Amino acid sequence: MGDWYGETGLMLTTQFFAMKLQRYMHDHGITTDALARVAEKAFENGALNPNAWRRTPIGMEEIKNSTMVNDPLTKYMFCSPAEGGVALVVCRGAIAHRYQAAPVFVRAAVLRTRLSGAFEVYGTSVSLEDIPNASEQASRSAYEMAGIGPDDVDVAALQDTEAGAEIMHMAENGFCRHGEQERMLLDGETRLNGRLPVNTDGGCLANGEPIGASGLRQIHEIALQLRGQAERRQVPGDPRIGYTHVYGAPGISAVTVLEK
Amino acid sequence: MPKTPYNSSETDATFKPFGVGYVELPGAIRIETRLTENDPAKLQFGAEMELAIYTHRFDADGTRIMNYAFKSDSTSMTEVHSTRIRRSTGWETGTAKLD
Repeated sequence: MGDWYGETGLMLTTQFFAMKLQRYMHDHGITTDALARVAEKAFENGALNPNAWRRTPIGMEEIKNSTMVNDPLTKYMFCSPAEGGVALVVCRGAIAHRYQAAPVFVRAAVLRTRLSGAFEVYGTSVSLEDIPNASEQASRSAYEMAGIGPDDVDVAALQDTEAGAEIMHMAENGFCRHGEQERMLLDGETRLNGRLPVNTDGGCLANGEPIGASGLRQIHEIALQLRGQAERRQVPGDPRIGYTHVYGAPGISAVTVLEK
Repeated sequence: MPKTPYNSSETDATFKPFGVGYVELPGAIRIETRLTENDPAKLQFGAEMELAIYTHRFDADGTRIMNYAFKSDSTSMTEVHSTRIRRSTGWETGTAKLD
C-alpha cells in the first residue's frame, strides 16, 4: 500500500469501523441508543473489574453526548490505545490436571485472513460481490472444529474496539441474525445476568486496547468465568463453554472455543 | 487532526474534518475515497457522486500535491476541480453511487 493512503487520511481504523457501522445501521435498523447501551454495559462491567482501565459507570446520555470522533461514534463509544499484558500457561490437555485443578480446554483456535475483495479495514476497494469477512470465516471454522454451534456458548468475548463492533460481531459470530441486536440489547440479553453475557470484563471499551494483548485478555476472562472465579462479575448458571473473538488490521480475525 | 502518517500541511487550528466513504463505480468496484462533503446529514446512501480533484497539500518546495475525492451535486468547494469519469475507462456513466 502506497504512502498516499495514510497521507491523505484514509489509514484510520476508527473511520473503517464508523463506515462499516453507518452501512450496518442503515441496512439493519440499529440505533444510536443501541451503541450507547453497549458502551454503558462495558463501563458497568469494567467497574466490577479491578484490572479495567475505565472503572466508572457512564450513563447513556453522557456517552451519546460526548465528543464526536467518527460519526456516529462518540468518544465514549471507542476504546483507547493502552498498555497491558497477559500470560497464559498452556499444556497438552491430557496432562492439564497435573497442574491445575480446574483446567480450561481449547476446543478450537482459528485464525483467518482477509479474502480478496472483502470489506475489511485498510481496504482501498471492495468487490461488488458479497464476500465473507475474516470474522465470519474464523467463526464458522471454529464452530466446526469444536463441534458446537452458537447456541451452546454460555459466555462470549467479542472484539469491541468501538460499540458498533460488538453489535456487528454478535451477528458475524452467529449469535443472532443481523438486526436482532437492537432488541437483545434493550432486553439486556448480553449483560452479566442475560441469556448470553458478552464482554463480561468490560471488553476493550473498559480495558483499553493494548493491541496484541486483547485476545489473551479475553481468554483470561473467559477462563475466570468458566472456573467460577470472576468474583463480582461472575455470570450465573455455571457456564461451561466460552467463546473469544478478535479482529484487527489489516483484516485478520481469531476465534477460540474454550470448555471446562 | 489525524495522527501521522496523515500529512496535509494543516495544523490543529486549520484542520477541517473530512468525509470518507466507499463509492461504487457501477458494475465494477467500490473504492474508498475522501468526500468533499463533511456533513453526515448531507450524505445519503445511493446518492450520485462525481470525481473531484483537489489540492491536498504543498510540499516544502512549493510543489502542489493533488488528490482524488468524490463530491455530490450539492457540494461547492472552491478548490475542487471536478472531472467526469470517461466512458473509455469502461464505466457506464460519469457518475458513481455512494455506497
